[in-house]
Amino acid sequence: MSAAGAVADMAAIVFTDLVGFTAYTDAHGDRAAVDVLDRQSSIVSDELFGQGRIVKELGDGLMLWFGDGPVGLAVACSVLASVSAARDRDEFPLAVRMGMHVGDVIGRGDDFVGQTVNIASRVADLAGPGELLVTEQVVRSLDENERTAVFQPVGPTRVKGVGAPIWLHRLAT
Amino acid sequence: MANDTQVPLELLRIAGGSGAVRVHAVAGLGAVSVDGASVVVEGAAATVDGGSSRVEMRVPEGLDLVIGTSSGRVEVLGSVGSVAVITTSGKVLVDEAASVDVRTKSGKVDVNAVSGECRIIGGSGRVTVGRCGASHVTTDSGRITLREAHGKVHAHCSSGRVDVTMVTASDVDAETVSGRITIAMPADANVRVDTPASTTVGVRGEYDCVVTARSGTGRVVVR
Repeated sequence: MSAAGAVADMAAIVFTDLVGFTAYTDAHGDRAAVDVLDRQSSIVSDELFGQGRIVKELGDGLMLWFGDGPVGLAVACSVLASVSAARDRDEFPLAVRMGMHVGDVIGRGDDFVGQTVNIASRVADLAGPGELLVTEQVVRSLDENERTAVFQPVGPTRVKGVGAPIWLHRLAT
Repeated sequence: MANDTQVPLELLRIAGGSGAVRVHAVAGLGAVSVDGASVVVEGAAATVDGGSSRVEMRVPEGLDLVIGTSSGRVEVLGSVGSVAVITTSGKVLVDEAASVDVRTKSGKVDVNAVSGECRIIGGSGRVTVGRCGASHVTTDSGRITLREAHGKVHAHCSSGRVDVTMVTASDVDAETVSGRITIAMPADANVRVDTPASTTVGVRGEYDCVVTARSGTGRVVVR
């Protein structure tokens, strides 16, 4: 794991977001909303299994850090599957959407900053309920011979401060 | 002056910005012809970066397209393969495609016909789809209208109206927090309907399909 400081390290950043959380809070109240957030953190922590960490909570979402792309992707897929299974059992009321990018990040205390973080956040915004979107850099970070995940191109997006378009792919389920 | 690709392509990727992107699919065309931007070809795929300029192109029928703009309108005219579009606020029009994946924050989306899967993730703009296969449509506040659905439908909206007309007896899952839901099923379909007001209990095997419709405050009509 990166120590705090100005040195940039390669990392994979994943953002999660709960779809419809505000409406759920309106309908069911603050206590139920807190229970959902706790349940999300619990599911993610179980799937991390020491392979990365929750950097911080952002409203109804989480920012996750991983040392490399393949590990981050594997955990992100596991989180999606766990949330979906919990929803099927009526144990979790909301769908999650996720976005992922790999690149340099700079540690700042327990946090990470940089365009890699900004891009991963933007990617999560574009995902639909129950979806994981990743950048082309994530797909390229995977060993083609060991790649089991199937991706579908969904389009390019632009992020302020980044000149070139960022091409996105959807994890096919 | 137009830039032409000299080789047959399987995939065309178009990165636009504030300018409109218009694609004309033409029967019998062998290569891609682009006005307003340069083309980079890698194998069977080509990439067009239009920046903020308006980009217009002619492509062979059946070509797969991946398109993005910030506020530029996207128009795909004629018959193409799979189409994927991301735009922040641009309007999207797809004439005819094998499959569709559209994501927008506020732009209006119109799809005339899609033979395969139709996936649209909208925001505040309304979404209207003509003939479609299995469809998965979500919006924040934009009204959802599916006029001729031939497969399983999943339509979720936070505060807009949902109208679905099914051509085949397939499952429908429709939900909105505050809008009205209207679902029209084929006359000969044996349908199990699950709504907050009316639940028909039965073994799924006795029915052709299941319709689940929930609106927080709006009326639900299944006919």
